[in-house]
Amino acid sequence: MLVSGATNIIGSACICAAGATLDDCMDSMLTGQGAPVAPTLFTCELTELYPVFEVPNGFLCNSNPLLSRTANLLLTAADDAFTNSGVTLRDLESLKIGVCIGTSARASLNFIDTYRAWKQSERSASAPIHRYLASNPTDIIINQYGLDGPNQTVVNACTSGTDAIGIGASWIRHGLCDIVIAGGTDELSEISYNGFASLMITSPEPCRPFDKNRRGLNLGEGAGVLLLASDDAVRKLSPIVRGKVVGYGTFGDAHHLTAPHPEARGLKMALKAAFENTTLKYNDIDFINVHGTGTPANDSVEGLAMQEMFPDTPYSATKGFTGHTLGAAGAIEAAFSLACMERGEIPPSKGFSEVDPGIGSSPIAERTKMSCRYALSQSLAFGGNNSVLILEGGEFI
Amino acid sequence: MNMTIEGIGIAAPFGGKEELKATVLSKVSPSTPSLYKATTDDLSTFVPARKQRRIDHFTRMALLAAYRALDDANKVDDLPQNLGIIICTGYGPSQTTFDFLDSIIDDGPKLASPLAFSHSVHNIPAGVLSLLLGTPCPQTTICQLMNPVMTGIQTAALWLAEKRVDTILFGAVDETTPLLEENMDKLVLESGCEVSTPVSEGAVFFLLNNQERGYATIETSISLSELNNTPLFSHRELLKTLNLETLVGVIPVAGAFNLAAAALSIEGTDRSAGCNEGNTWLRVSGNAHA
Repeated sequence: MLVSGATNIIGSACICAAGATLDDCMDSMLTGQGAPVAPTLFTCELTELYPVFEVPNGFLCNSNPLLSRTANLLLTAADDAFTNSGVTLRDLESLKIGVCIGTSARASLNFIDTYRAWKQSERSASAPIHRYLASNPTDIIINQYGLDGPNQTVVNACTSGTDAIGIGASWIRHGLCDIVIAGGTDELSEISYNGFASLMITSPEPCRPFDKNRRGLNLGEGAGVLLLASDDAVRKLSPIVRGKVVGYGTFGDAHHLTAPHPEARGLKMALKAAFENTTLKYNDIDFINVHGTGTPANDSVEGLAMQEMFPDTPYSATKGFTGHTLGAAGAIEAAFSLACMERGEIPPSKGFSEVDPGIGSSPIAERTKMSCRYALSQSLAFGGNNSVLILEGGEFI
Repeated sequence: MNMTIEGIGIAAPFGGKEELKATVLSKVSPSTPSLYKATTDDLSTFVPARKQRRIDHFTRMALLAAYRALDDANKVDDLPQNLGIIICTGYGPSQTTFDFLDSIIDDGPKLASPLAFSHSVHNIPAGVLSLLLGTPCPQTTICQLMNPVMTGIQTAALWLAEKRVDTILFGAVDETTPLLEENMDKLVLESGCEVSTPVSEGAVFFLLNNQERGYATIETSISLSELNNTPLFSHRELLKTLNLETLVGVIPVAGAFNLAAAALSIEGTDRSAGCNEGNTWLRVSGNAHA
């Protein structure tokens, strides 16, 4: 039996192509807006064009040129999380604050122009190196807010954001922190664009999660941040508690490095682990935010797990609005899940229109009103990682 | 939170655990490696050659150190139940990242290497390890230059305390590349410092659990004031005393070598030592009573 205990969520924010704030994202998703476009942030040399979900520069509140785009996305989301929590940094002065952020592409030494110059025996520029060294997502938050508590940069590919929130919640449970700034962030780049294209899992058209005719994923970018708080911190700060992290599970497939286990072995084990530290049963979950990338393999495996473990639970996929934001995806979708419970509405799974007989079920296809107390948000990743969060919504006093 | 080091495995330019132990126990400055590159030929002792195909150098170092840690605890053929894997790194598999950039630059995006791309993803080494062990398990990877080892140790302690797992293979890995070496020289020049020790690489793995028998017990979340009566095997002091920096070289996960050295130096005694990365401390105590 795992150590139990729900962790309070007092702030929730995200930025992605669907909107500059969580509210904007929800408004645009509930009304079905948004479509991927040809990349403008970098040059595409591939014959076939793969549309992406870029964040308009106007969405960024932080645009420090000395930092990476990933860092500026994160700072924008983190600032918004504090704003909507009503808590200021001054309020937190006597508290121990941790930072746990997931990322994928940004952790890599992806400065191709610098590398190209170095290969050609030219003197490589220092600026990209300094920008890399200064842009570790966790360091960014620590330096921006002047923090000195526990910190961790999680690099579990596309489960990173989910894992960062799960790990951050454990810091609260064990008294290591009073507050944890947890989430994920990733930017679009030429490297990930060419990399995913080389793996032949990107779609030349808008992605269609769980649809019979899905052709792959669209890449996206963004950041999501949750402010997690201990019960003592809540008593001291009196913020509005917007939800709770009540469960977290993670498990590797030990099967293949870029494809999920065909019988969802790791995912089912992660789901089981997420429930082990709760009193909940599978049928207590009101809706599931699936990973839903729109690749044939991912959606089939998730569909299988849904059918076996949650045959009657509605599920939705949001990547038709955001694209796959990699290390940010789990955090952005945790914020979405929380917002859906707050609003009592779930957006349609954009891109879905026809049931895949191989999956045998359909995601929520229309804007749906639903009273929800418990939501589950799951992420799958390269390396065989599978991670799951169980979130509680409602009114907390 | 406490946990026990049951096994230690090292893959480094100077060799493995025995070489580090000899240095620590003799307190004699080691001979400097002629080349700060780790050899991983011994991986064939644990993994058949056909299964090693396509595995990059970073992952090979991780695998060799992980298998050595299991072997050190006599657990290779009888893997621990409810295992977890945690890997920390400063830069991740850098050379594989550069291999992917090479494929784009040299051959064009159309021929970009899918293998190099997928293997440059930082959690792939943990995935390869679980795959080769045949053990679906919780696994996580940490990438940061600030306190990567202490952060990973903290997560290991939490996973054990929460009973997510009963045993953890915790590893610290980094590799050197020509670009990293050049950049390090450049950054040193810019800072006005003088550093003579070369950039290095290597992997250290620990088999951690909540049992009593093992090299040493680790206590995390220790403040410096709590360590007042503990001989400080601080990173700086240990490296200075034993000249381990010459042995290990400059590497973001040097804290793991420090921790291994501390554990080996107090094995079987009732002594304790403090280890740190930055302002984060832990206490390592010998298990003479166990």
